Amino acid sequence: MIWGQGTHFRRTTVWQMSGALFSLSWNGTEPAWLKRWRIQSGASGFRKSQPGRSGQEARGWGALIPPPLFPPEDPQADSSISPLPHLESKIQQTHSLARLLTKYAEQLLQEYVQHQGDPFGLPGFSPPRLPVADLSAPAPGHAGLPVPERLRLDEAALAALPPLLDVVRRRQAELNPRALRLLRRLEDAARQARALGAAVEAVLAALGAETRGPRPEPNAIAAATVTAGVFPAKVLGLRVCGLYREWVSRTEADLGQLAPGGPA
Amino acid sequence: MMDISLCLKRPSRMGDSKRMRMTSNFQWLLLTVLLLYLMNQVNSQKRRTPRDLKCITNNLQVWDCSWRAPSGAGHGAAYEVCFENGSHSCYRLEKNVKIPALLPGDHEITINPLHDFGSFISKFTLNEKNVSFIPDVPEILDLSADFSTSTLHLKWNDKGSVFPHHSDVIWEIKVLRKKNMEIVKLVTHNTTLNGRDTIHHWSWTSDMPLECATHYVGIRCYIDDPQFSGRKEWSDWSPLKNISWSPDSQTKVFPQDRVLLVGSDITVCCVTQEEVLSAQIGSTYCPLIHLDGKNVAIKIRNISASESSGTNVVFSVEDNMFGTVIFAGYPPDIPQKLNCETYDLKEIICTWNPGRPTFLVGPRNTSYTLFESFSGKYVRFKRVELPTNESYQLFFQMLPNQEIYNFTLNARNPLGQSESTLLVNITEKVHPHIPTSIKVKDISSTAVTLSWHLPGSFAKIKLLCQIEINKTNSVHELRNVTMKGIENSSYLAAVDKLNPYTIYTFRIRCCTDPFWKWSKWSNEKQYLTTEAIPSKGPDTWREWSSDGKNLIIYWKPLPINEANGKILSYNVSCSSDEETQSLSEIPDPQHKAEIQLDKSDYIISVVAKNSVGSSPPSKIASMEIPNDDLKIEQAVGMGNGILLTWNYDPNVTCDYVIKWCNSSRSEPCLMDWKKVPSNSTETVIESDQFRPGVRYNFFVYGCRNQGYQLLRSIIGYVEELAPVVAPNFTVEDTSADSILVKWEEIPVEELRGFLRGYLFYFEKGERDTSKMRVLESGRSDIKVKNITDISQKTLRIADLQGKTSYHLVLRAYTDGGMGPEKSMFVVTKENSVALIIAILIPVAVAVIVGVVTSILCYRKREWETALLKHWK
Repeated sequence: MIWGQGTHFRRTTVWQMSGALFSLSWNGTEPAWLKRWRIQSGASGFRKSQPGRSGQEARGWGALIPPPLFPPEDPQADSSISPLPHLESKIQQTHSLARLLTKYAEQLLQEYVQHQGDPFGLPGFSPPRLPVADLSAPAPGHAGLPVPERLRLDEAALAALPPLLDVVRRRQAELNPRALRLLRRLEDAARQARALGAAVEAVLAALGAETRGPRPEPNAIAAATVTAGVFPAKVLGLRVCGLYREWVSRTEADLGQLAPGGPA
Repeated sequence: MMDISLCLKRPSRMGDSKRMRMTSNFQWLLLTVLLLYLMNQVNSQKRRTPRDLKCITNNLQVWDCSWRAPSGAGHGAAYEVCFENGSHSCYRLEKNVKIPALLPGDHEITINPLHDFGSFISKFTLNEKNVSFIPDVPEILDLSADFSTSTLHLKWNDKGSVFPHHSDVIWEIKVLRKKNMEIVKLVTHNTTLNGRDTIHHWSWTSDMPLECATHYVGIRCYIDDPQFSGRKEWSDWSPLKNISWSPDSQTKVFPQDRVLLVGSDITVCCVTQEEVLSAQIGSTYCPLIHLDGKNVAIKIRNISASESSGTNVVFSVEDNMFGTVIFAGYPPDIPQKLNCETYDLKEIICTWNPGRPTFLVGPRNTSYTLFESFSGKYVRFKRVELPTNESYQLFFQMLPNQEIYNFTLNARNPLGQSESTLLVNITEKVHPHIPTSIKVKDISSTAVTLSWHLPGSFAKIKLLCQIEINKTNSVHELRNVTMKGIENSSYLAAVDKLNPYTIYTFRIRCCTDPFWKWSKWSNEKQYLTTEAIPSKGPDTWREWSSDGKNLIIYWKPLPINEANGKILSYNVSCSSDEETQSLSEIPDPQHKAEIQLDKSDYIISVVAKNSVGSSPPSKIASMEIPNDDLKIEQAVGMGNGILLTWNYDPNVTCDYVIKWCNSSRSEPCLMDWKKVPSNSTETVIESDQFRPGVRYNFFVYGCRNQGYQLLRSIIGYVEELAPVVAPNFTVEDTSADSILVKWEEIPVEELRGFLRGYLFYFEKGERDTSKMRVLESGRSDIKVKNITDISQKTLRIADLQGKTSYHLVLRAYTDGGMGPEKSMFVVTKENSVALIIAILIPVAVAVIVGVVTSILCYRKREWETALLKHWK
């Protein structure tokens, strides 16, 4: 895994994750979207990260993103270096990650449906949208919220997803023990959701927006989603995979609002 | 029924009525009226007596008898009932009487209404045969349900203590379903009364989950007492007891996650408060069976094997779906090919094939337990998801001093179990590990010690090991070694009969006695045996130098199997009666030595030396016995060698030596030599140095005591080729009708075979015409001469035309083919006589024609003149 970062506006960031290699580059002038956002949100500048914050970020990225992605920001750093490129880089990278994970989430959903037997996957099969502990689908009004608020919701949902995906994986390990690809995708998805959540949190921090409050205990989430029967468990798994896809896709769209070239 | 006799107190008038039947119709009418009257009177009498005595018993000990009271008897009327049962007994009571069971036979019972003066006394004859045996209604002690298995459990008391005899009892149990009480099961259950109260149990598994609808159960009985001669009847049905599931508000589907045998039928229901619109199994929709309320069920028949995650059954309501998953599979097959063996007599490994797939995975997968009955120990197979065609294995720690093991492999899954057994003497089922750590140690140049490590506790058994010995360019040799097994796993074996200074490759495999399986072959171990003194002296030859002053001694390097080591040097000595000359320590690459000798008879001795010692001397006499009767012969080989033969010569006592060299080399010429035994008369000379088309000289020497004598001198080719050049030829003489051609011999090197002749072509032709280029013997205008006398070097071509250009071609040929051609153009000289004749003849003809013409003209003139004169 390679993650390079420069300090000049004209730069190229290359990083690789799960076999995909990305190369991002842009001109370092402050884009109009950011100016507009600053005016709309009233943000007068960018806050420095709190001490120790970067360590938390690094932990959040887990195995996917190494610590050099978000080096600790030194309060004594040269004030002539603008924080804007750093923010742009973060947004761009996180957006690219979300785009990749959207594709993976779609593959996961298809793989999941394929292993549950008929009528899963048949046209007209619409299982109940089971309530899932501490997580719901993106609300219809989500798109109308301010971007930081949207990202906060995205980040909260992404934090709630890994324990749910773990529950689904454990159940599928009993039902489809030979479906190794499905099991691997579920395991990857939990890790990727964690990574994307941490990346969104980092973007929020860099934007100066407040992040969400305390997270629910993963065990509590998992316990709340334990279902008695196999069929409800299959439906729950489908729901969780669907929620994962929706939230990753939502996050991609929300980050697209901030990314250079995105809609104002 | 009972035989009832009425004690009539008034005479009967029945005889009068019969007589009246013989009168008129009117009389009939009167008679009928009278009859009706009389009957009414009789009935009136009957109604005024106790009648219809009936006796029943519940327990065969007490008969409960009742009768119809006389008409007019008030409620609470009293009777005196008397009967004979050995003694006369009378009871005063109101309506019915419980009397002890009477002995078999007829008993008279008198029932006398008390305090009713208009009533009559009734007498009945009572027999056990007229008594009905109707058992008491059974009482259900408990009805419970196991919803997980859809099983009802019924418990009741047979009250056997009441009955005096042992009797068979038939219990009839009915199960009803739904609120409309559909009978779904009616079954009989046989027991025996044994004089004690006994609790009985009956269980029934419903085809429909018990949660789907209320189930009711009732029971009645029939006691078949063999000693009771009366009528036996079923008891009444017990009051129904029911089992119902208390649904909560949530819709649920039953059964949940049931494991079923493939091919079974199953009913799945949906307990709901909502209208169920459809139900499907997998992708197939099923007709709904309506139960109580809005509950519905579907019947699935002959279910097929499920995929890994089960078969989904889904009920759809308007805005939701509910479902369950059925896992249809098979019980475990009998474990197949169960085999237990050990690698090391410490641990037993049992392998088996699971057989038919169960189609059940995860928690429903087959679990295996390997049980050993003598020790009572067992091991369980840790569940892993193996591909269905792979074999399973379990390890069982061997027990001290136990050789016989009786294994039972039990396979179990939710649908059943199966087992396979194996009785094995484990000492006969040893499949040793692969031998490792092969080491080789010298014993001598022809023997080594092999040691290896074979893990295992083989102290009580014998091992048979096979040592494979490989030598370069040699067949593999296998040697068996039997040894006593040991505890520390290190084994030794001596391997002898090896060659010194030879690279051997060893590998080992082992089995036990009695044989079960070979271990895998160990890795190969390469080893070079130590050197020994050379076993033979070098193959030696000698040649006199061209000036005859020096003797050149040649020897061949010893083959590896005779050198027995690295040859370091050679010692050469020439001994005669007078002197000995020696050349010592000639280093190995040198295989030739030259010693100046006079022509005396010497014995040359050559010794090869390696680090261990010297070879026996190889001796050869220097003297060459002359042979005056020597002819040079020809021979042609077979491509890779040449066969040489000679006649048996009894004087040859040592051996024959054939030496050969390239004929173009100068003397002394020696490429190589070969010694053959003295009893041979032929040999094939082969050499990598032989080349086709090269002429070699072969000399066959016979060895006699005094020396070698040249017996035959042969020139030959291993393979003949066509000449590479054409003979150079010139025109020696040309005339008007002939050409004399002369050619030269082709050098031996370019001839490449024995010359067999020349082909000479000629034809008319000019230089630089295409026709000239192709000269083939098949063409009619080409003349060919085949010259097979190879000593001929000239040719005169006659009968040619003068002053004509001829194309001449000459080529040589061997048995290897035709050589290239050489050609030239020659013009024959002009023929002068013919030219003169050619000129003179036309001139002469012209003169003759002129003379004749002149004569004729003269004669004609004279004839015309004479004729004119005549006319005139």
